[in-house]
Amino acid sequence: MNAGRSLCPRAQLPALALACAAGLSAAGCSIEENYLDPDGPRYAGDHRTGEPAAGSRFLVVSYNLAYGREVEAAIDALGREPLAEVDLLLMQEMDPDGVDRIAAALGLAYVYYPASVKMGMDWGNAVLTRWPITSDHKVLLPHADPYADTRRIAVAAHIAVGGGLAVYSTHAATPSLGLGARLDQAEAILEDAAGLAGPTLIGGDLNTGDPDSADQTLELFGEHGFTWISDGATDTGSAFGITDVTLDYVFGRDVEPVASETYTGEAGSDHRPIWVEIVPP
Amino acid sequence: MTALAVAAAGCTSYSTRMDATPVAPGEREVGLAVDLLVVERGRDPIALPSPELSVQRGLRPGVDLVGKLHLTGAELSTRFALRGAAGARLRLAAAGGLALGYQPVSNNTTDLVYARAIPRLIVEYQLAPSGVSLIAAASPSVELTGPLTMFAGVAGAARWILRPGSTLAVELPLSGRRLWLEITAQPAYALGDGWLAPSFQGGAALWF
Repeated sequence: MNAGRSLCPRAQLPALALACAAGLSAAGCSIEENYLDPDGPRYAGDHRTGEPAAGSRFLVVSYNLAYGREVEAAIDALGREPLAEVDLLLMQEMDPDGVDRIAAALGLAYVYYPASVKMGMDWGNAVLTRWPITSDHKVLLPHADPYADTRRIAVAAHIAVGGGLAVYSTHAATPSLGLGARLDQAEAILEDAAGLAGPTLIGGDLNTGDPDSADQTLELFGEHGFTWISDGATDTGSAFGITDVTLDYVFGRDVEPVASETYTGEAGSDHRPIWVEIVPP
Repeated sequence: MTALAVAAAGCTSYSTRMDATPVAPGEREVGLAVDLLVVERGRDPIALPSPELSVQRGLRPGVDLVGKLHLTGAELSTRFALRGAAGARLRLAAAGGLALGYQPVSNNTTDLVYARAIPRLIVEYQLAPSGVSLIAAASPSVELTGPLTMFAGVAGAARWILRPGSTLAVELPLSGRRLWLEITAQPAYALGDGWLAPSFQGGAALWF
């Protein structure tokens, strides 16, 4: 898949967007290619070497790896405490090769869907786990980025652990998309999860660094019966390089959180991974 | 957060800041305003500061140009006196304007850039000669708005928004200048999407 190389990578900051739009011309922000097929492309693999034994803890990590560039750094971080022996890894900004390499290094099964092509790479989310993945699907989120037309997705998977666990790995749009539209994106995942019974986790980068965004996002998830179970994991990224903000979350329904924290070691990303320990489902 | 709030300031403007008395030919008036813009952000309203510069320039008797500039947009209108000569206490004017702007932060969806046509009908009542004036204006507008990708031919998210707006204002003499207090309400109806949350703008301006 070919796509124009974006001259406005990530369109992350309104300041950058302002520069892009100075001439009111899309010449500064190329249109990216989206994967709108609800069924794919889909990548899956299983690097597990045996069936895991139920433990006394269940460790969930959400990790935005910044264009999947520093895969070795991620593998290193995920081999260190407190991220080591992760049961469920929700990754964002990944390409298929990076997901497979991490799964192979950690002995995990995975499913990955790219949302779009960015900077010439497939760019999407993954669910990796040491437990069997019994089903999965892509949730196409509403609204395209107003600068580059990119769409976002959530990757949904059902994990065969205990009585079953439904999980979502998602990456909402940056503040270049209005907050109302980003809440619509979160609501699309919540509506997808509404019909599910049993324990459910939704995690990922929700890009809540702009004013009011975090509060309204927490309120929306609360209205749908989800609890912010990674509330001990804050300051996961930066707004304008000026101040730390919480961008990454794990929400749970019918799960019992034990502890959560932000990983502060070297992670090879502009996001800090977050971990949540829950009572095994 | 502070940087973002500053960046958000004045992303659009719904102000009128016009009475029914065009300035005399060749004369110029400059107004500096500090407004509070209330728009929907997410599912809640948010108040943003909005500084604005206005310039009025008389073209010929009863006709002037009114320009307004805010942080990320501008508007140019032509104002015509319809009724009420100099000295009349009740005056009526009409204006037609075009606003162009860019909303990097305060847009709530993908309405990033806009072009807005704004006809206005303005009524001014002067309570006393050289004294306080009350102004009411109907300022309905038709707006084409959408993402920046419109300029590359990706216009699926573009939409038309109709705003049956209106303004109330008070103008007072103040040490040889004029103080202008205004509040504007802008209900909004998006074709195909229905009613949107209304926006409000209010504040004070000093005319020089």
